[in-house]
Amino acid sequence: MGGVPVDRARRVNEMMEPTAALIGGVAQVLQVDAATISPDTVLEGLGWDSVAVLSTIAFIDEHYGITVSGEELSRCATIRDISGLIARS
Amino acid sequence: MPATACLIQDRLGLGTGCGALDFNQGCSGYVYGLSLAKGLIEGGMARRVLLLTGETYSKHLHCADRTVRTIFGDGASATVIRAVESDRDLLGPFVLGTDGRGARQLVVRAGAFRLPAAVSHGSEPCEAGGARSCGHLYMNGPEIFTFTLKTIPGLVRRLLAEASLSIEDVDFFVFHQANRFMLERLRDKIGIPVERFCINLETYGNTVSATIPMAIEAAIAAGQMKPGQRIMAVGFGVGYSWGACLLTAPGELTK
Repeated sequence: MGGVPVDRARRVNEMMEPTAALIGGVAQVLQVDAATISPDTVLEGLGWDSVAVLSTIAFIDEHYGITVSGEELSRCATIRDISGLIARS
Repeated sequence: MPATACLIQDRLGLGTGCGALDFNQGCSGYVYGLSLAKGLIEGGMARRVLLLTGETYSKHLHCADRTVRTIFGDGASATVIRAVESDRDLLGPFVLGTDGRGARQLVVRAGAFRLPAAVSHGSEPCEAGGARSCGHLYMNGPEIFTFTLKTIPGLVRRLLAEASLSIEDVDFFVFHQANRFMLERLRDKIGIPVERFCINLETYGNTVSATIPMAIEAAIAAGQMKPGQRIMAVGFGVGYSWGACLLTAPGELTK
């Protein structure tokens, strides 16, 4: 029962550079090819709407055991921003 | 005014000796209603309680606001809770909670003294190319989702601990039917088996305080839930407000 235990090492790593797993997760949420986006791709215009934010909350919760704020995630412009949010959540 | 409960007492032809009151709780309302009924019965103030939930959220939705129109439906339920002699608890324990910091995340802002409904409120553009006014329902979906992921697994664990039970001891979990995406994520996070977790949204959508009794009724009608089974009901949402309890599936209440 309960969520995935927080993987500290993975969190620290996220702070340095968004991982391929995070980029892949966001790409899947946005239904785009992961090879076409980078940590600094601007998400707006790629379908970064409230449904995408919901799906990303679920992905981060499942993958990292961290529940990020919906409001803060909505304000993230790039995957690097999301990575920073995970690191400080 | 007057309280809707007073109008219903008359329309149902109930005697003038019965008390009647309204309470306004939203998504957690059914569990709160059951807790009030239990308190009234065990406190000796009532032998039978008729708990009614009725929601017409359609009146709160702006026709151009797609963020909420696709989720909510209107619905109502009636539940009779009556006193029976029993050597075990047929209703309860209860775990309740509130966090009013979330009030602005799911709200109709106009309608009370500070912002009267009688004043006309102009519509403004909102998300997804829609529109709403402060007299219409606003829901911050992502923030509500975060709240439930943070709160509901702990609520379920607390109730199980309170009752000295584990997930395996509960026959059926009936959560407030918020939306399928949220329910499936909560189910997996808590570790509830798919076959013991109720999802009942396709016909009526999210009917707020009516979802839990409507889902119980549908599960009984479909033969998924048997009379006498141990059910966990979990309500959560607008407020923020939440509550969970154990109850015995209706149909075989004595013993």
